[in-house]
Amino acid sequence: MRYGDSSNSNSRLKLILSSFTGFFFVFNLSQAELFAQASNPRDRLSEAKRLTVQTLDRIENGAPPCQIEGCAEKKSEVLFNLQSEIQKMRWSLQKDVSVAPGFWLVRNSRPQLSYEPKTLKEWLAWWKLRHSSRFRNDAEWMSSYETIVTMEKSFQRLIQLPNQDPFAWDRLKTQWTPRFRNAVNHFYQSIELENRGQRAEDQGQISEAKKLLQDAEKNRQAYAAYEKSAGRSLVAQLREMFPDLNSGESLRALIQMDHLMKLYGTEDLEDEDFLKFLESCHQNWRATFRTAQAFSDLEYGVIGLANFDTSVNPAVAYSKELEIQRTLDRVEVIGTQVLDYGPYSFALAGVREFALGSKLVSLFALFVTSYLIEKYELKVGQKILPPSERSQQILSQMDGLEEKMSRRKDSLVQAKKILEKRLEEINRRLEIN
Amino acid sequence: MKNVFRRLVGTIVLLTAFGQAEIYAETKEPLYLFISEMETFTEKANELKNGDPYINDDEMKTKVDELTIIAGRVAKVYFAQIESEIKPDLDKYLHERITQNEEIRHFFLLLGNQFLAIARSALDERQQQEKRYRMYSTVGGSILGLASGGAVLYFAKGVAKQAMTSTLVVVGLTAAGGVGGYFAGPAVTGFMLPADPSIKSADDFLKKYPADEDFIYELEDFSPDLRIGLSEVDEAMYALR
Repeated sequence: MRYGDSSNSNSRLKLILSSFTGFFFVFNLSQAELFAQASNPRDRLSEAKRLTVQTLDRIENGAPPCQIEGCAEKKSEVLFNLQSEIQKMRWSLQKDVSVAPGFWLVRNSRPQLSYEPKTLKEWLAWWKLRHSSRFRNDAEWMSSYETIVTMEKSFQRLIQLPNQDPFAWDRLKTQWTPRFRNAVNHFYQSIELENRGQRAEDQGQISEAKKLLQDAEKNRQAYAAYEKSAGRSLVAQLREMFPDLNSGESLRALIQMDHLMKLYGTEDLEDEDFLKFLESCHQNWRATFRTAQAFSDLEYGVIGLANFDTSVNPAVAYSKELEIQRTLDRVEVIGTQVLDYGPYSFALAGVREFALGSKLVSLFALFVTSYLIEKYELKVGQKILPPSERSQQILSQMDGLEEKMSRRKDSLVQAKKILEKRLEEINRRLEIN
Repeated sequence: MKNVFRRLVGTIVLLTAFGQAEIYAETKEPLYLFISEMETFTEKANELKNGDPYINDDEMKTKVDELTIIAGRVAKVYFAQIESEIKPDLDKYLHERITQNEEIRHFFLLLGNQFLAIARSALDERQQQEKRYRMYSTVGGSILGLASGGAVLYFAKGVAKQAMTSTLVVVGLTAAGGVGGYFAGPAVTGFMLPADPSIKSADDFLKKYPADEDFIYELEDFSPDLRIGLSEVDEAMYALR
């Protein structure tokens, strides 16, 4: 089903490309600029209609990942835009957002694999995927994407707070003391340092890890001292200020505000100019989000209602792939065992040759060989055929994925209902105007 | 003669029936034990959440320690049955309990950590066992003159399969090992069970998750693309900017 003007092309591809072009349009011309252009009510309503139709298309039809010729170029272009947008906003970031995993994904684009492999070539393509670092790069890209989402959301919540939740805004103003701000910073640092420390520990950088974890502990003690004197935990205070954010998001919102106030040189939370500055930061982060979303759409596709049960839905794709990878697991186990026992047979043959067929000497030599191989773990199989963790990775990814996807479906249906009502209202108001 | 035969058949039938019932009871017993321990765990966690708000630190630590001990028992029962036929029932029940107790979800982290610890030690043990087994089977195989034949391969394949099952469990759990608590997203293991290896004691737990921690919850009704799409429509429609 298409919404809006029926004279639009019905071609699926054109629809997808036009929806992406729509995104580029939105982020190239900022929302503020668009509203400035649409100054009269009719223009404004037309703009609202365009956005509604665009979002309804997205909800209803979704989009497959872009894997046709020229997609890599398009994706790279989006990533370059994203890079420059992040560069502009880097001063406001406390955590790295990298587009490098995105470029890796573009360079190593996933081939269109058949979920029912029949030929050797198709099986080999799946085998190749077993040792790909795609999962890691997917996760790294998603981490950057989530940071951008959190930044946009934190800024949005900050600028909405005075109007949407005056009580929470009052609470924030009362508590916004230098001691509180310090405690928030210590809280944030303790988490960041601990995460970095754990990563360093995992990578074997023990002395670096020790230092980071010690610094994390110092920060923890600092905010614990504040909590003791305040008689309440920081998390509880954050939840009061931002009831609809989780503690990570509200912490980031406050960290951003503290950072920006220092940059702007104000101590007044109600400084009109500062609030406008926050608003412009939010617009920049929203544009950045749009670009990041455009890349994700091209790379992974968009899950809509029409394509919900196709392989664009990762829950469907993973369950299909798991069957294939389990077959390959069996092949791998047999192959590894054959290769592991190769040296035994070789040793046996060699010893028989030298010992002129003496079975006793052969057995003794075999015992020594097997003992040495096991003791020093001289596994040939694993060296030639390194084990793949693909099935395990898929299983860990599939945990809770169906629930997430079911939530996505509910939210698609809910958003569709809301937007259809909006569209009716827009059309009614357009008729009046 | 006929009567003797009938009695014999009757006795066999009865014994078989009793035997089956006994086997059934034995098979089901761990499930009841698991359910009972899980109920104790959720009950105690609820008490801790909804109990005395002025509870002092030492009492709090004692209660968290108590929960950790119960979590350890739950994990032991679970892992004892990891290859049994009731494992799907355990999984189902665990999943239900977690989803029914969203309010105390952060306490399930203690359970997740116990699962993680047992899974890790099970894997180590299994790897050692595999190593021993391979050595003996190879030597045994060579004595029987089967060293280069398929028999060793067959043995080893069976062992490797078991080892892989353990690996699966551990990898499934450690996938959540990198949880940052706040920014790394929710720590999700099998059955959406949270785990955080950095929590090693009641002290760590209370320091890191001092209040009704919400790091697990996903508060958003809409995914980011839909949330922002809806916001933009509203902003344009109602001239919010």
